[in-house]
Amino acid sequence: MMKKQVSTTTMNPFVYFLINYSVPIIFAIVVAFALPLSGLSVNNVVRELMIRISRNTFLILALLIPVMAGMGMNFGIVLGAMAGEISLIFITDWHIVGISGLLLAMLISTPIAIIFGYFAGIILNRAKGREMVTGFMVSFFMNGIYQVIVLYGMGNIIPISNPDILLPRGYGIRNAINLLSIRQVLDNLIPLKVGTIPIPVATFLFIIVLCIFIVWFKKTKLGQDMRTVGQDNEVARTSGIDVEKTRVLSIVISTVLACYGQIIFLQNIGTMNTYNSHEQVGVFAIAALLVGGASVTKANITNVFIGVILFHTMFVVSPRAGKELMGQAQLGEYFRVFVSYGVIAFSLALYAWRKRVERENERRKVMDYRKSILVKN
Amino acid sequence: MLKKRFVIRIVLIVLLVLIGMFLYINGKEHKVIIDNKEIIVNDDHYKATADYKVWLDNKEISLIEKDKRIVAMITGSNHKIVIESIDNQELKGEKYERIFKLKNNESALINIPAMINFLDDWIIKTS
Repeated sequence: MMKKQVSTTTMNPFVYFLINYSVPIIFAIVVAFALPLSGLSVNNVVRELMIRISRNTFLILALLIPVMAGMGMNFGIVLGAMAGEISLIFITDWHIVGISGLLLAMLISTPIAIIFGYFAGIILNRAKGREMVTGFMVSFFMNGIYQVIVLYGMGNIIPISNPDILLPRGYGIRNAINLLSIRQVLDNLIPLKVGTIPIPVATFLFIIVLCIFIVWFKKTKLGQDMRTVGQDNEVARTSGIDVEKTRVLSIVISTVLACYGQIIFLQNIGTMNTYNSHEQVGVFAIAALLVGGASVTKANITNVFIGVILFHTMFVVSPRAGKELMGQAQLGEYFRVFVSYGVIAFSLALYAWRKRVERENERRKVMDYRKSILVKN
Repeated sequence: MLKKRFVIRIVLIVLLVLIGMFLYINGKEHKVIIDNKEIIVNDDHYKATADYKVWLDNKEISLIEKDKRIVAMITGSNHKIVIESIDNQELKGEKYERIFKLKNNESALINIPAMINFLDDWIIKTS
């Protein structure tokens, strides 16, 4: 017996909306329940949220361009994060401090991120249709190379002289690096307080500039090419677009933006876990974007902001809510990791389901058309 | 057309390198040790006679007592040190000001008695 399929296009608009925005809706409900349970004051939540929005938004925005080019969620942003961390190791070694140190880190990391992005883009071009899982594996692979370079190359081949960051054996970088010299230099560059809540104005300006860049970029020739490539590779190719080059460029831009995002992230934190600060970057940024209502094929700036607010509100309230509910804050911690991976899995499953339904509908349409021709004859 | 593009790229790279150098010099941190201790120059003894309040690059560093030493970190290459004598926590208005430059890997040792007596050895730069 044939299974009854529901068409996503002929569906009741309300049901269609519910399916499309199921992740943000579920999240909003969870947050609405967890918020009063946590016992945190509005002031505390807003203060914490302000820090987290300024810290994470740039990284999430870095994901938008590959989605535009039809390459899905770029798990390869981890490569950009590694480039950012390498440059932070250098500026710490050279004792470059303040905003100059931060900008120099961005400058140094740019060519590294371009090389990493180019490398990732070429690999992803060879794995068309499976970009996300390939990106995930590329980031694992590059993590190994990063560790070899940082653990054995730095101090041996790459000159590092600062004893504060070198391992006692004389080569290799310590597990944790103190970034006090650039800690919150961007956040505190333009000091502003609303009530008791500090607003990191300069960081928000960086984010606004990136948003404007993305909006502008969509209207450029390259941006239009990326959208065409994202819709259909073959159509793009016949229109004279160099599909492979366009895809590589989208990954390069995303990697460079991610590297700036990681630098902004770490200047806010003030310490860097040399070997694992970058590991979860991709998963958390992608989860936040998906929570904002984005899908593998469609994401915009609004999704970024909705996502970062919902996802991080849950991050703020879940440990306290877990403690109030179960008596253990640790449960909230587990819950948020479980939710991050769960959201990605759910979104991917939803995407696969919709694809299958759309394909089935297409097949039915063709069958109906053939039947009608046969009946006419 | 290709040549123009090539030239633009080269100019851009040179510009980025220059910006990098500027940021490196401007953000480089230097260690400055300030001594308020006796100094002997050509068998002449210059003793520390008072406590001083110290400003480096218009930023208040701290109070330095007689026969004591303080350490400060400064960034960039051009610097200004201002000291003012202090007595019973009151500034006496006796101000001394000096300008100095530090190269990339240099640290400085400043001696206050030498500075207020306008000696050449008021600052010793070390790599």
